[in-house]
Amino acid sequence: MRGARLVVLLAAFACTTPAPAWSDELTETPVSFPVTIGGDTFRLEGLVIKKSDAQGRLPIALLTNGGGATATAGTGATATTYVRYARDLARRGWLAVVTVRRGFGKSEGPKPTPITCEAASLGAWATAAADDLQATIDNVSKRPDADASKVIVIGSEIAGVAAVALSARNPPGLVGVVAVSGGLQSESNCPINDILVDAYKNFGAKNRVPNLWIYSKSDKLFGADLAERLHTAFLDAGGDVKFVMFFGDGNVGTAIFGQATTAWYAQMDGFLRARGLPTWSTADVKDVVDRLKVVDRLERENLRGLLMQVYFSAPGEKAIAFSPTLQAEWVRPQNKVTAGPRLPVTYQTTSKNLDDARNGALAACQKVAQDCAIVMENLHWVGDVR
Amino acid sequence: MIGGAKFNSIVAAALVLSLAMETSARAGDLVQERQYLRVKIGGKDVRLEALFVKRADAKGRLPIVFFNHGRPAYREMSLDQSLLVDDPGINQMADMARRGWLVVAIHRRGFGLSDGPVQADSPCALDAYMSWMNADADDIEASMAVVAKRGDADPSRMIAMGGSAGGAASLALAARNPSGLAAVINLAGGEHWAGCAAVRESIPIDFRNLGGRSRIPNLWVFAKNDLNHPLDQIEVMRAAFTGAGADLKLLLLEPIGENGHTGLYSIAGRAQWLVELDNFLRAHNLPTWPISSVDVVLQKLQWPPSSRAYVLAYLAAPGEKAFARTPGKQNASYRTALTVDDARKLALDSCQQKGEPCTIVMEDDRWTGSP
Repeated sequence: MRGARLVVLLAAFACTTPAPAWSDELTETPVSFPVTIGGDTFRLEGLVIKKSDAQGRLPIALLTNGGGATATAGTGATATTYVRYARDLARRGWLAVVTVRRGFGKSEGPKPTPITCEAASLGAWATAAADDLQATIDNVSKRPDADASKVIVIGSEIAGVAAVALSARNPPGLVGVVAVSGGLQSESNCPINDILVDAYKNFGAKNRVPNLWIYSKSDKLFGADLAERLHTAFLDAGGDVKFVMFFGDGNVGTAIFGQATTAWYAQMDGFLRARGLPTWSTADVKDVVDRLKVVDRLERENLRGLLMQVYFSAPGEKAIAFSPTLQAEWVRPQNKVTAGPRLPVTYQTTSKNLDDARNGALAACQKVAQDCAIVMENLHWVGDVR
Repeated sequence: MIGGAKFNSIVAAALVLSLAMETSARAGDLVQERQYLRVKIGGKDVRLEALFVKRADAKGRLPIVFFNHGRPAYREMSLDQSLLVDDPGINQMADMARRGWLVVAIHRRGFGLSDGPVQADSPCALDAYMSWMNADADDIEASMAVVAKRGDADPSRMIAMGGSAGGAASLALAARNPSGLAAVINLAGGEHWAGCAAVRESIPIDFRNLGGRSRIPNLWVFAKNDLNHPLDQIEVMRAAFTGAGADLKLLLLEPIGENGHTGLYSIAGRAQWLVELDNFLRAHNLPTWPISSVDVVLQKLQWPPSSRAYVLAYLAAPGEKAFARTPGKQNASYRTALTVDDARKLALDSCQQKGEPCTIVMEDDRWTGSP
């Protein structure tokens, strides 16, 4: 898979004449993290991805396996399950790390025990999960390409709880946590919500690291009522959280992480920018509009808005095609209306590979113009220096 | 309204004090405070980002002005809105803070670091815009309840001031006639929704509704070249609003820049409506800079009463601003800029163009020249 991908990328670059300032190429390294937890040593399955031309130390974005509601669910998870998210983070400038917690995938260690509806059981699980994350961060921090003073942790469903639990420890260097559909259930279907709310109260009492929590109003597993209770308990206790409850865009139920990725990425990107952490910037969007030599104020505004809304936050692989003919045809509308003349770009995001993204963007463009060319691949400008 | 008059005298005292004592070259006359407001909306906990600005020399409880921001052209831009004190928008807040107000700027849900997402968000329909305005008003109303508890806030005297969608939100808030809300300042706010034709039908319905419910005096400011609100649309809003019984003063400014909708925030735009805002505030016994300051400054300049209008225009002008004059003469110039440093340079340059040496004697509302 990885070999094939690299070839595709190299082929793509052979076509672009001007030497790119930086490439879209990523270096992906499967890793087995040797970690010591409670005096015992384990190897955790992992993956590290960064931009191939990245220099120096990069801030660390840690993803961990979630996507399940219970401590024992998601047994099929491997580091590769999260590769596309890790790539998207690497493209944003992070040393993207996936770690598979003990007992999952190829990671060593005991399988997690089911959580019963007792506080001690939930507490033991949360401690173990946070230990796995902390141990991974400690290990990654020793890398010469890692900047351990800036670490974020991202998780969905049960992994969201693990990330919040870690944030209650305020480990040095942890600067943000993103929990998507964070919550858990007990294997025995006992009423665990009160215990979970209590746990969040305890997390909030200790937490000082900014959290971003994202939920969907139509979530059947971790419903709006539970999410609100977790939120209130965490805030009441003094925790720092920005709470986002999707009700329109992104309101897909529990599956936000995989099915409304653009929506939660957009929230994450705003959260990162507000804290001066790496991601694409609004200046990057403006650069694209500048490079396309769009001069009319209204056309520029519309194009910037479109790129922000549908392209920059969207998952890779993705590409933008541009047509000079379409741009020349643009006519200033009489008033500010979005249903105005068409903009000179087409795009495709969330593709299996870059070729698909390029072909999709080109095909859409070629329906209306003959002079279409790819100008962006993922977050990287590949067009002519116009 | 005795309270209002009393307050004016307090501000007058404060200004005289600052005129006498402020010698610092830097504008350290205001204090800013960024914090989260924990509010309840519909029974739910919401955390909103807020910025407070007030005079550093303010004592006791201040009247409150709520600053309500607009909407960006695209929803994704809402997360990048900031309430940082180095934003140009801070100068508009400073204008009001210097007039004696406790300025409270909140980010509504979905903006900046506030909880999210944007609530005013539903498909185009006849009742959609009103639901947006109400969702926005919920955030302001919830913040009012929290701000009222501050030791430096006087919740019996509040105004809501907003631009564009923030102005519209202020109208929806005022239609609820919250206790203590004394006025609405609406800067080019109305219903505008690119590509949603239903808005044309909803405007007269909604503005009749808002006008019928509101008991609060309104000042609306529009420029004649507002690309979001053409003149005929402003007239529909005005007619429906006042026809239903609302108290409205409409200020229509000549075209400002390429688009008057945003041109209102330019220095030229602010210079026009701030004077009218002062008149409106005085007419409603609400605080602004005391008119007696004109005489104080004239005296310090040793200028005749015939120069009154010039000094008044300076005192009403938007900040950051500086006033340069040739000592002992009536040659003077003042300028507004992003920073007081820039304003000083521009004012000096302009003043010295007549070949006379000039010195800065005022920065914003502070006398900085020799006594």
